[in-house]
Amino acid sequence: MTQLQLIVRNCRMYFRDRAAVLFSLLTMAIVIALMVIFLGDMNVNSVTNILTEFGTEPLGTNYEEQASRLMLMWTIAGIMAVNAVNVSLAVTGISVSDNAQHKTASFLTSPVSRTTLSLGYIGAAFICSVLMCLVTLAAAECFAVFAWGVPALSLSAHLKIIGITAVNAFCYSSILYLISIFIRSNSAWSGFGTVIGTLVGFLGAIYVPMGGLPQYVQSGLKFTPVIYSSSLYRQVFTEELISNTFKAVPDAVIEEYMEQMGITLSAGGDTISAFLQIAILIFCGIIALSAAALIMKHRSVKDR
Amino acid sequence: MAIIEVSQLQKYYGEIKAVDGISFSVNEGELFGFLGVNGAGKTTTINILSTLLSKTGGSVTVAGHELGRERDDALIRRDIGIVYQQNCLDDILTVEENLLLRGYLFEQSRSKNRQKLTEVCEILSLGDLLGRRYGKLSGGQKRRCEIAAALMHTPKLLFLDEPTTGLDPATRLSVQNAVGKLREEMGMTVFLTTHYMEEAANADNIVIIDEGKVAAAGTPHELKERYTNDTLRLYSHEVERLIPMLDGCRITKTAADCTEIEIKGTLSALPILNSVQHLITGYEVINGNMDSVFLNVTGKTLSI
Repeated sequence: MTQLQLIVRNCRMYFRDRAAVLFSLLTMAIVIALMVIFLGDMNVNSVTNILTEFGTEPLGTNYEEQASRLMLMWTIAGIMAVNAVNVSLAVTGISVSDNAQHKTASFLTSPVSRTTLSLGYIGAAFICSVLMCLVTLAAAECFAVFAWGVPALSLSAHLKIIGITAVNAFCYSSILYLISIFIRSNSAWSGFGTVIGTLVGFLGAIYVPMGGLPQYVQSGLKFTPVIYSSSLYRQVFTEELISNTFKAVPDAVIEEYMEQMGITLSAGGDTISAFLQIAILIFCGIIALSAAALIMKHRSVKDR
Repeated sequence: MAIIEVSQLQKYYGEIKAVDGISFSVNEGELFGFLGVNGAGKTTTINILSTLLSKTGGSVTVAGHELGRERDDALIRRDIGIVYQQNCLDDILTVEENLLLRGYLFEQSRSKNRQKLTEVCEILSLGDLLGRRYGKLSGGQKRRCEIAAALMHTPKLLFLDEPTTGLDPATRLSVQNAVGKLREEMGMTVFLTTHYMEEAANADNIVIIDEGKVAAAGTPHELKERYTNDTLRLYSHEVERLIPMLDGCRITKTAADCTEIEIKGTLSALPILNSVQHLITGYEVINGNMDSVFLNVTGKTLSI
């Protein structure tokens, strides 16, 4: 009951703070703005060029429309990936604020353990992330289907997205909570949030596609979990569109395109499977959770 | 019967002795005043007694449980409630949500929690505020809510750590009344630290600490007897003739029509008044107050 009530409290704290909700959607707004103003056309052109070169559709087929639909879904996938990071950032920030305002000390004079408190923040971050991602999914899909005529995602695609969202939310809730343990003031957390909120679009190769980045940056990104999140989402969101759009395009070209756009990832010449990508995200989450638990245990022994 | 027994309590931070071998006891049902300037060790002592901070040495028993043993510490937490100087409830939640959460932290069932909510709201007159957001309340209302939150699990002992600091006189009075009502209706033991000497004067017993050590202890009356003198103020138009008659008295102030002398107890005024009654137009006996006690004991004034 106590655990559940702490999670409920933290969820309320997030959802009732309109500024926190708004700022956690800021990266999404940046992604949309970048796509509309700068990068959208560039990405669409690259698809149109491939289709013009290899297309077998009758004369007059609107390649640009097909390309735009593909890029729309690619962008939505990126937004889904960064959403979990930003919402987790906002919710785990409650723990920093609680510490700074002596609320944590007040909680700890009750029988509640530090572990229960920590799980309260992580649990709330997980729930809020999943909910916000699902709301984003619903809104984005409605927009894609009704405004752009993109075929609706299949049931299995929806289930996959929900699964990826859960894994994603777990991973970032744990990692960001671990980081929040070391940050003592609201202003420091706010500064950290600004950096992460901006950086996450690059880490997930969302602002600039993977192929547009130097090789060493591409390699570096594979050491962060965000790139796996965006890749996993992109695989599901673009699967059907790629097979329909690139019907006549040779497999080697499609594979290269998917890698350039960060839809698939490879290491040492081999494609990293979706299963392995999910495992990496879960592993990162477990490591962060274990580290947070160890630190909390140490703090409990030292002083409560 | 003592509800708190502290013997040779020490808390060292390296070379700094925040609490340096203090001993005192608090009886059940009493209002205990714990005074000291900022940095004297008051909050450190409260943090130790409330199990938030480990002690360096000494022994402490709270509500029959020996502090420092994990199992006993957990039992102590169930028996104490704490109100800090700063507000610890959540601005964004309603008063009801805040109070219920505090009850859930003590693993109370939903029905017990509701029952306690009704009880504390009645005692502290919070019924009308339950649906309002805590952040929208006035200073006095917030303080009463903080006290209510500390009472949600029916503690045996309530710590009030400078609960009225920074409040206007009217709000301070409303908090003092609330504490008085608590003691009257619930027979609660209250451990109070305060900067306001008029609050301390209502205590059953007082300990003054200075630089981590007990500087004085006793009832307010005992402390006044020991550390202050009363003042006899004589009004006269013949001050030149009056002063020689006060030979042997310690004159503390002389003005055109008023002379003040220090006396040891109210009754000491009688022989003086008898000897000078033909020269005076009036008189006042001013009792020594807690401000003077504090000043004489520590040589410092309280900064608020």
